[in-house]
Amino acid sequence: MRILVVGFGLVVLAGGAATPATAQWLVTDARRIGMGGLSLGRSGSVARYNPAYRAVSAKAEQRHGQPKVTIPIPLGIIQFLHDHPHLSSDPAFDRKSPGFNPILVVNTILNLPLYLEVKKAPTPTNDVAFTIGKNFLMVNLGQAATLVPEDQFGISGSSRPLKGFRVGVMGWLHDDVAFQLGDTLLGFLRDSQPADTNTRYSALVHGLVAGGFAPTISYAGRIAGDSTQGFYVGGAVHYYVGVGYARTDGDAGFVTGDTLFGGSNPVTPDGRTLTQYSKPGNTLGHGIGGDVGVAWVSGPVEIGLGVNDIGATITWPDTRLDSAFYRDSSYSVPIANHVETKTKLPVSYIANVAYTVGNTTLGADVLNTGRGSVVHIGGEQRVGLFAVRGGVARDQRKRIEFGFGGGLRFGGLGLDVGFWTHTNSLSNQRAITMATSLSIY
Amino acid sequence: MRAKWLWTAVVLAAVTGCGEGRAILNVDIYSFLTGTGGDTLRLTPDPLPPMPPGTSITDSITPVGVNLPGGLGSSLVDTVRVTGNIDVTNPTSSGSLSYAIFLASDPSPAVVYGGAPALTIGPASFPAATTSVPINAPNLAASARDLFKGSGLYIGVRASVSNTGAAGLKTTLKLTQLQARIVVQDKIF
Repeated sequence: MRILVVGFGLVVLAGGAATPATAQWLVTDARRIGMGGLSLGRSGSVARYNPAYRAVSAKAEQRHGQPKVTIPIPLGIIQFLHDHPHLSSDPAFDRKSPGFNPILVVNTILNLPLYLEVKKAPTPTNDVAFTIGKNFLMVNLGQAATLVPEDQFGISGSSRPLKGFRVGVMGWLHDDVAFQLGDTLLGFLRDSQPADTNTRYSALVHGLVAGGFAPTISYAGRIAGDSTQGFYVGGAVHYYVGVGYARTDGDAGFVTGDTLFGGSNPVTPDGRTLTQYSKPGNTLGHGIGGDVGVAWVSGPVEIGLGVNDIGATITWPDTRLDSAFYRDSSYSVPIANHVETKTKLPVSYIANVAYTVGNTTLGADVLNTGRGSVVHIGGEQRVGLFAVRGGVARDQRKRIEFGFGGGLRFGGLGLDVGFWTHTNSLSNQRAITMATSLSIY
Repeated sequence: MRAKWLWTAVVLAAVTGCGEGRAILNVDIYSFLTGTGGDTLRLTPDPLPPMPPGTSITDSITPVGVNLPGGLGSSLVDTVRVTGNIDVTNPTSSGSLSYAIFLASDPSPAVVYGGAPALTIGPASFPAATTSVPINAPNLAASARDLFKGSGLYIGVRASVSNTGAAGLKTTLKLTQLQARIVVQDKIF
């Protein structure tokens, strides 16, 4: 296990070193972290979602102080191995051990120990009380009740595993998972409302995954001005070819009986779902969509807007539909086979603005990939060899996160340190991560 | 079986947040006894006459099932505290009471009453007037605690009353409260 973790760290390190900074994800770039995740120039999400930026010259990046390559320094792996020197026998990670802590495992997965945790997000620890009578059931989750989501929550995204060129083929993958507690179950878990007899407690579940490839014709160019002051446009037309997809929409829960704990059947599981799928090998799905983007660079100011997957509706001509229902016994009923269904890729957009004057860079961007907007605002002040950075971000859960940091640059080599708060763990309290990276200019 | 679905739903939600905390089950055992006759013992049983001075009598209830969520097979039951109250109602003479509560995972009276009681109250003296006798067992023995891991728990009550007065004694022993507070270390998985 230790070998696995060390190997993982090495892979990340090697991958980070080999990948240009512009394409690296947030957590590997201490400079971006120091500015609250802000994308500048062609870095980060800007080039991914705004095709016009593919034509913006590299000089624009250098104006914002962007390095050519960033190499992450994963101090967190050292810390993690120090805290868990014997992973294979560590009780917290051993499912068979009385000390197994699934929360810690999930936290570790959600917050990969790549960088140093300066302040760890505390694992919620409190007593959970159940009050049980013959006809009474109440749950008090204590502080943990605040973690029961009131709104719909889930994950989604569309990605392009293969990069597109002027004429090329890109891969695409769309996933969307959502889960929402019904009112009765929400009240039972979050508000410690007693369970009621003859009541249905349920949650809505939605899941979708679809993937394929897309022959693409794209254009990006400057239509006015020069490299220091110009107007850029970009666009791409994709012919989406769907290899396979599966989707399920359901409602699952349980129904209480006349007496909660008085009989042998106090609750009845109850669920229903509609499943649709087109397996690889079936007739391919197809659809057309496009990306557009504009960027305006004028002296110290840079503004961009990009929209992806416009009108990207995939038609699947060979889909099977099944209905599953569970109460007492499970069975599935085929509704239809070889029928046409449609899925839609979420429209993603990014808007960004940057202002660089002298040794000062300020910027902001808004990114929406179909499930809430992420906002970054940040800046950098360079003073001689040093740089000071700060930023603020609002994540998809509408939580405010902060970034701050600094850097030291010697000619073509720089050392950056960035701190950022995050709450993407099972805790409402913020943790602070310190990221470190080397930059080559 | 189906109770485990409910339990699973509840426990999954709980374990998501409780981390290294404890699960505490407050079980109202009395709610399962009331209405079954298991909460009441008439001594001497009707239509028998009152017991003479210097004699004693013992009687017990038919075991009553207490449905618990179950699913705690691999958990450690740290504490089971039992509290409650017995009313000695309208005794016709003074006396002494011993009250024993038996627990088992099998409903058979032979099994329930075949072992040692999980807790014993008394001997407690009472006057020739209605009296309350409290039940307070800070922690049951480990063997009794483990019975709360399962979904089926059977409870038996055996009471002995001795007549220490000068008149014949007849009374009704009635449980008015019986609760168990079970503290479980959350080894859920």
